[in-house]
Amino acid sequence: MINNNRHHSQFQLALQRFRGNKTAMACVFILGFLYFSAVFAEFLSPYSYKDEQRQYSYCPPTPVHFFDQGRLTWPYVYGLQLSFNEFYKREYVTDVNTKYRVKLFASGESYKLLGLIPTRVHLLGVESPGRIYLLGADSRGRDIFSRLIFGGRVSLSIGLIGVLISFTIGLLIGGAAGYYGGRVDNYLMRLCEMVIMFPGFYLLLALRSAVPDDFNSVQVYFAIILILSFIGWASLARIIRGMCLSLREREYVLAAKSLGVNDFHIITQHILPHTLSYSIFAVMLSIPGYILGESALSLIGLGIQDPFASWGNMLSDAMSIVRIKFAPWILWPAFFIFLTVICFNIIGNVLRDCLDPNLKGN
Amino acid sequence: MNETLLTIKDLSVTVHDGSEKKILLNRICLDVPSLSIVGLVGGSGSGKTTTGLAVLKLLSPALKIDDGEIIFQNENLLKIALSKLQQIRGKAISMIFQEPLQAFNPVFTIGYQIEEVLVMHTTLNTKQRKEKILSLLDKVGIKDPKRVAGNYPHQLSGGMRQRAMIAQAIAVDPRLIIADEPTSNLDVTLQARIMELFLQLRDELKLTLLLITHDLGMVSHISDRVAVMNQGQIVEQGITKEVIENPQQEYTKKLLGNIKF
Amino acid sequence: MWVYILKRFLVAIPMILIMALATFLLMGSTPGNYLDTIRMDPQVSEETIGYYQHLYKLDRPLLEQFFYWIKNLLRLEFGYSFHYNVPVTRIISARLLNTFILSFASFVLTWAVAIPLGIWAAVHRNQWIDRLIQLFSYIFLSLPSFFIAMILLYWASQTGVLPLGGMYGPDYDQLTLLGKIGDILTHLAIPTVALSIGSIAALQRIMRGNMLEALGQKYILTARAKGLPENKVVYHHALRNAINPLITLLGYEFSSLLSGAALIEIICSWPGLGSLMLTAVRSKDIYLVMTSMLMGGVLFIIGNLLADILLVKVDPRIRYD
Repeated sequence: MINNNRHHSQFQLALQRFRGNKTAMACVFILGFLYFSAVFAEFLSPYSYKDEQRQYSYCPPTPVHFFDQGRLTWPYVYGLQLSFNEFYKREYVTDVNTKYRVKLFASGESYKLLGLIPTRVHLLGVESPGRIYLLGADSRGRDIFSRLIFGGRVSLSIGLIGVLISFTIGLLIGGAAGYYGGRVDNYLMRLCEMVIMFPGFYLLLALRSAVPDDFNSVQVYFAIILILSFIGWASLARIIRGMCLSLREREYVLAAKSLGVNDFHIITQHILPHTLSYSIFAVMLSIPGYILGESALSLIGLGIQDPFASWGNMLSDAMSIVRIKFAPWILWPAFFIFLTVICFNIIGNVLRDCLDPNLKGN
Repeated sequence: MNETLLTIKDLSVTVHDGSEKKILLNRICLDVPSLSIVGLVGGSGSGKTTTGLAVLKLLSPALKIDDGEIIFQNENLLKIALSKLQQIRGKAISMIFQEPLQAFNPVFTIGYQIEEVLVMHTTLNTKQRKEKILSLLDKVGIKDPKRVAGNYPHQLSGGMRQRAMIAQAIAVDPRLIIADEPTSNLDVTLQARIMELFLQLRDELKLTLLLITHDLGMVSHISDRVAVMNQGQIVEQGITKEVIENPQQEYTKKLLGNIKF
Repeated sequence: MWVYILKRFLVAIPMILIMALATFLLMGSTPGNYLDTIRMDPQVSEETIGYYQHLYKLDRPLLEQFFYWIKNLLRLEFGYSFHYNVPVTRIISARLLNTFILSFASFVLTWAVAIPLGIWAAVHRNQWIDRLIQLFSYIFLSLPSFFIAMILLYWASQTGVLPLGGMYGPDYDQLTLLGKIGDILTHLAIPTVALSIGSIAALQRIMRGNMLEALGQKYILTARAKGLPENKVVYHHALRNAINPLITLLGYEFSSLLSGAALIEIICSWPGLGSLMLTAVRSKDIYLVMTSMLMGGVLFIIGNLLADILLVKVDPRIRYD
């Protein structure tokens, strides 16, 4: 009991230090905002992720105007007219004669908020046939802004779920190996090495090839999470094992053992909590791996499939690099990947410094 | 009484920890006469190690020397250029640290590390240097100099390492050796042997020794003078015999109380 | 030490085999194999398919297929690529070399830049140059390598300074030997840089940390007390100790480069093992997948062994018995 309390206060102290770090707190807010918008994607996005308007292929971002002939008015956007220039290149001409007011809580495609409440209200919208493309459109005229929000659902959740799975496996296997030692340890560590031995991306591809072709998008999504977790657990298990090897010699573990407490209870109650501070920042620092893994797979067409959006598969548009020139806005997903990854990295590093002040400076 | 070799005058050192300013040394004055052994004694945190390091300006950058003079052979060591100071370090004044396992670089052989001093401060050629290393190791009582010279620090015993450290310190016949807790990690018999070695070397090589230690008992056996430090100040100094027999300060008495004669 | 290395090697073999078996079973247990794909092709007769089926025992149970493959492995026959219609061995060696070239180039670049940068940052700890380096390493660490590759390729397409992917220029065959090397090097530039930037940032941070730790050690004080000049203290005494722990990373670093290389190969159309594996995975070319993965594992083991040997050579404290 006493032990638990000490841990608790140490943890609170670290949390206090963490709050004092402005950069880290900014990152927490950014991530919080991203996760929030992923949860309320349907409401926050003007259009659905699969709302295609082929005539608006690669339409540039539509500027929102606040002034009309020098006077402040309700924000509006102009209509767009597609035409071809002398080289038969697509050009979008602003039609100054048609204005569409940007409406708050506009009614659009119907959906179920949080999967429960059926509604048609979207935060932003313009009257049809006008379109609002805050960040431009992709090859099929789908709104990149909306798809980014929906894509965040996949990319952001894969990190969390993946890390959850591989940490559970890693903690249990590392804990068991470290606690039992001897032969169990030996076999479990061989198992880890087996996974670590193969370069991650090759393993990723090989495992992906084992996923049946007829899986639907949700199944593929979970398959990818499983694959990424399968690759990720091993290195964690190794480190947890090292910590457990030393922890199991501590008096309170020996005491619990001599009292006949069962092994599972000792591992989960007396040993693993002590690896907590390591685990917490390791979680933060390994989430980017999952996000990048998913993006990479989706980028090369083995991940989330169209029309579903993930930041990775949205970027696959940019794989033909000439498109970057006339539609640079297709690179937005890369920015969001970067933003998420750097936030997790900063939070992880600051957490480590806070949890273990001795490490500071290293 | 011999002439004074090293004079520390009004030395003050502070450390800035964030916005706080902490005084580590408060106007220290200390004289080290030539050819004597001076013991600088104090508990941990008393500032004795800081004093020793300050002499060669080896304090870490966070520590600032605010004031004072360190006069060695008529020069203020705090004022001279770094390049000139490097000519004094290891040559005229050398240091011996506690825990030689950490004080020796683990990835170089003992011989190599002694040789570095010779390369820096002498014009000996390779062959002469090799011979010098062997004779130095021999002089500090190492039985098997050839093997030890080729060994890495971790391959030697604690006593051997400390002897090798001393060999490195006397490599170019310095005038002054500052020894910081040279025996604190050794067992009692080894401590006595190392102390004997110091006495013998002083006579042979005409050395002056500033012995920094927490162990007043050990100092009382070999030193001529003793200075007692507490909380960044020298509370008492004088001829060893006088201080031991008639301590003036409570702190000195407390230190003496721990010693059984 | 050699006994230790041999032992490590022997332990690795069954581990690779078990992993191979797992992949084989996984791949085999999912419906559809390469033959199903060519069966769609009306030009391929049923006999041809039957012939292949028989030749590679594809009509036999999975386990038997696997052991047949292993048996051939011992004769260095890696099976047959259905997609390329040649034995796997024929394609894989060239691809292996190309991947090695890319990984190695990136490895050299990473170390050549990261080590001096880390030392520089450590020596100027908390000064503006250090902060700048740390800021950039945070940014580069968080930039996905594929994004860097895309941006570089885009830049190349705009300026025309560097070729857009691939490994050889169109006139490669007419070039002199020196010209050929130059041609490959210009093609190598973008994938190498894209692959290295992240690892430079990571390695730089580790190097800086190690260097700071080494500079705080007692032996640095000793070295200074001996009268050694500052550059000797930093670049000789501290550096040797700061580098050593990195050598254990060396093998790991190489394998992570290998893994990262796969993705960059695909984006920069570098004809390496990674892009080969992607083709193989897409067409369910089972032996090609297996062999590519096997080669990846073998490269990794070799990288680690080299690191072990090197570590023994530079750190006198380490002995394997």
